[in-house]
Amino acid sequence: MEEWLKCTITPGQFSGEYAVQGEMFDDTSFSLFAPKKDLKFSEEPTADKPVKGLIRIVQCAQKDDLLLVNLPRPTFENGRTITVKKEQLKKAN
Amino acid sequence: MILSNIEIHKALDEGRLVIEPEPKPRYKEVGVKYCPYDTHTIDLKLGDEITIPKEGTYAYDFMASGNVADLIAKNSEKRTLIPDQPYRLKTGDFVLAQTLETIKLPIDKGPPYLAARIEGKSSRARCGLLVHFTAPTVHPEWEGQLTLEIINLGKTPFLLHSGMAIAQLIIEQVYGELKSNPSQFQKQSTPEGTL
Repeated sequence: MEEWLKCTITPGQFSGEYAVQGEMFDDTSFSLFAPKKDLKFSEEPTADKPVKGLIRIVQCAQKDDLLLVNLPRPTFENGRTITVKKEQLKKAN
Repeated sequence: MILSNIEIHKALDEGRLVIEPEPKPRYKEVGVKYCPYDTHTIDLKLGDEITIPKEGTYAYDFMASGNVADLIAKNSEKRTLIPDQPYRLKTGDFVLAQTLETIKLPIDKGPPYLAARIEGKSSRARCGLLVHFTAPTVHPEWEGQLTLEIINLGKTPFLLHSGMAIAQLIIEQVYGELKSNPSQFQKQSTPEGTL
């Protein structure tokens, strides 16, 4: 079972990547560039039309309703490993 | 420890290093004009897309909360390099590009793990071309094309052709097991940040 984190997606700097924004456990933002293979979204985002989507994560640790997760690429704000709320995850086959 | 060309080929055969498309031929033979491997390096080629930062009144502020990735993307312009129509990189100009090759450094086979470092080529450097100036490291588990930070410090324009040999990759063996670095959680403000 793969695990996915809710996020917002816009086009990246290259055609094979996207700009991804999400929230950490304390409601501060993280952002990164990620390849398409690590993302799920229903329609192609454009610069002026972000789409809601999911980014692939690997869970590293859990404490109560908080999860330490690895993202596919490092964030601009906080490295590759961040803490999020459990409710932000979505399981997908 | 830096891998020799023989060890690089072994790593390719074992799947501990994946380069797609795989640079060929592995050795220079009679009548072969170009071989991408030297004693301990592999030449990488320039992909067909570059991105050019836009001039503007904006400023990047990594201390501000917000979508840094989107801000950077919105303030850059993608351009596709067409064969026989190179991009003319003027003196002092900065663009981003990607390698043609996708690099994978899988860790699922266990140690020894591999990391890599991208470096420029001396022939291009003599003309003033930098292909990276701060971020050469390719971490174990990486999968993807490598982004090149290209700047022309020379006194004359430099023509960027898609498919040209632009950089070289050095493969290194990582000593020991791997564990995520707690310093990656540095900006999280509570102890929960270091679960």
